[in-house]
Amino acid sequence: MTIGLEHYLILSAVLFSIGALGVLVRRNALVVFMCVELMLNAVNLTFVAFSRFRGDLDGHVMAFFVMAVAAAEAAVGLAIILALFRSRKTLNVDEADLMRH
Amino acid sequence: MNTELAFNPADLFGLLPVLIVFGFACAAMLFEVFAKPDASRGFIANVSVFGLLVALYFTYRQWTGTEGPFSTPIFGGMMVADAYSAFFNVIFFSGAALTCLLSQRYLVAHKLDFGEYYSLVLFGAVGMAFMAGARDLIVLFIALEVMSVAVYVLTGFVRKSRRSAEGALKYFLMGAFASAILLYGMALLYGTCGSTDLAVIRRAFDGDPELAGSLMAKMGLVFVLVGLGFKIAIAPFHLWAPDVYEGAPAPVTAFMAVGVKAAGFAAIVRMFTLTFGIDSLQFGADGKGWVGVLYLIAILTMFAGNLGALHQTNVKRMLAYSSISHAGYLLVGVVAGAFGGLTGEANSAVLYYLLGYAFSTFLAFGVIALFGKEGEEYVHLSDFAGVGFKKPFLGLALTLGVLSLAGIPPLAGFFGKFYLLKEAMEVGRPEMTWLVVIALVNSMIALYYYLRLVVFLYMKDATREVPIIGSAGATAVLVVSLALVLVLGIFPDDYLEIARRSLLSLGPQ
Repeated sequence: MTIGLEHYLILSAVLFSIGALGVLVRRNALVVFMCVELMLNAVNLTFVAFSRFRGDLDGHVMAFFVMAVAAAEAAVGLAIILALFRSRKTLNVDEADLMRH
Repeated sequence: MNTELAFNPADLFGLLPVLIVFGFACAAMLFEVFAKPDASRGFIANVSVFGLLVALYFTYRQWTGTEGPFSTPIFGGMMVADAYSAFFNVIFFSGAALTCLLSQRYLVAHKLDFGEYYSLVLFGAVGMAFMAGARDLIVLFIALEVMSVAVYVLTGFVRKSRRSAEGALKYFLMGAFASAILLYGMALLYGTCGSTDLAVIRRAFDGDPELAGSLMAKMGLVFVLVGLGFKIAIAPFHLWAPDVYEGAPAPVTAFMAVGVKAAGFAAIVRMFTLTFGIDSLQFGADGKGWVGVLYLIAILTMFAGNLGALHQTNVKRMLAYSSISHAGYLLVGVVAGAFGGLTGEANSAVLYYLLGYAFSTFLAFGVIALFGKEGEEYVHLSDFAGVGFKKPFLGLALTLGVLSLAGIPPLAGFFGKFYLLKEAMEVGRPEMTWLVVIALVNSMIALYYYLRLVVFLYMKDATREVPIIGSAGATAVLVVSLALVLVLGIFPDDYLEIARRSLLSLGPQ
C-alpha cells in the first residue's frame, strides 16, 4: 500500500477532531490549551501534506508561521492561566464562573 | 502567494500609516523600559496618541493623494493598500487613540500604570490594520493573531482582579480554539485551490464549478466563517463575549467592541463578498449557499444580543450583549451586499454603520470607564442613578451614546441603521424584507434596555456615593465622540460618499 494524500488528510482530520473534542469536554485549563495545540498541529500536518503533494511551498511557509504564532500564543496563554491560578487556586474552567451569577 | 520574492521599497509607502503605528508601539515599550519606576506613564499615552494622529494624517494623505477608489497591491499582492483598508485604518487608529486617552487616568486610578498597556493597544491596532489590508490567507491569519494576542493580554491586564483573569482565560481559550478552526478552514481552501492568495482562490473557483462545489471547499468556507464568527461574536459563537467584556478594563472593552469587531467585519466583507461571493461557489438547495447560512446567523445574533441584554443590571455586560446585536445588524448588511453584488450599496452601508457604531460605543464607554476607584468599577445600573443631574455633561454623553446605539434620530446610529435597512429592502427579495422586519422588531426590543439606562440617569435617586475619575483625556474622548456622533447623524452625505469610495476599491483584480 502506498501512503497517499488522503491518508495524511484523514490522520490530520482525526487529530483535529480529537483536539476539538478535548477542548469541549476537558475541564482543566492546561489540558484544554494542550488540545488547542493538538488542533494547530493537525492543521500543520494538513498544510504540509497538501504542500508536499502539490509540489509548492506555500503550505510549508504557512506551517512555519503557525508554529511561530502558536509559540507566541503559548507564552501569553500560560501567563493568563498562571494569573488565574494565583487568584483562584484552581485550573478548573468550570469554576471560573464569577460572572455567571 | 506570489513566487516573486523581490522586495520593492515603494511598497513600504503604501503601508506607511501602519508602520508609523508599529514604530510608536516599539517606542512605547522602550519608554517603559527606561522610565523611572515611580514616574507616571502618562507621557507614554501622549506619545502613543501623537503617533496615532500622525498615522491618521498619513492615511488622510493616502486618501487625498489619489482620485477615486485607489488600490495598490503591495508585497507581491499579499496585501493591498486601498481605500477600503484606509477607511478601516481610520476606525482602528482613532479607536486606539481614544482608548489611550481614556486609559490614561483610568490606569493611574486603578494602580495599573504600566507603559506596556499603550504598546499593546498600538500593536493591536497594527494587527487590525493588517487584517483590513490582507489579500492572502497567511497575512490574514498572522494579522488576526497579532491583534488577538495583544487583546488577550489587555483583557487580563488587571492582574489582581479575578474577573479580569477569568475574562482573559475565557477569551484566550475560545480565541485560540477559534483560530485553530479558522486555520483548518484555510488549510482546506489552500488544498482545494493550491494557493493562499484570495484572488487566485477566486479564479480557481470561478474557472472550475466542480471544484467550487466540492466538499472540501464547502468545509473550508464553513470553518473560516466559524473562526471569524468567534472573533466578532456572532451567534451561536457569542457566549464568551459577555464575560470577557465584563471582565476586561472598561477602555479595553471599548477597544474590543470597536476595533476587534471592525477588523473581523473588514475581513469578512473582503473575503466573503469578493472571493467567495461568486455564482460558482453557491451551494445549498436554492443556490444561495453561505448567504443562507449568514442569513440565519444574522437573525440568531440579533435575538441573542437583544434578548440577552434585557435582564442585565451590569451596564458593561448589557453593552456587551448590545454589541452582539449590532454584529447581527451588520450581518443584515453583509447578506444584502451578497445578494446585491458589489455594485449594491448595502456593503457601503455596513462600512458607514461601523463608523457610527464605533463612536457611539466610545461615547458610552467613555462615561462608563470613569465610574470607579482602585480595583473596582462601579458599573451597576443603580450606580448611574441621578448622574444626569449631578454631572450634566457625563449624563448627556452617556444618554446620547446609548440613544445612538439604539438608533434614535438624529444620531449616527439612527442614520446608519436606516441606510442599512433601506439598502437591504432595495435588494428586492422577499426574504430580505423578512430580515428587515426582524431587524426592526429587534430595534424595538433594544429600546427597552437602552432607555432603562436613561431612566436611571435622570429619574432615579442615587443609592450610594460613586467615585468618578475625571480627566482631560476622558473629556476629550467624550467631546470628540459626541461631535462625530452628531455630525455623522446630521450630515451623513460626505461620510456615505467616503464609505462608497472605500467599497468600490475592493473590486476584483
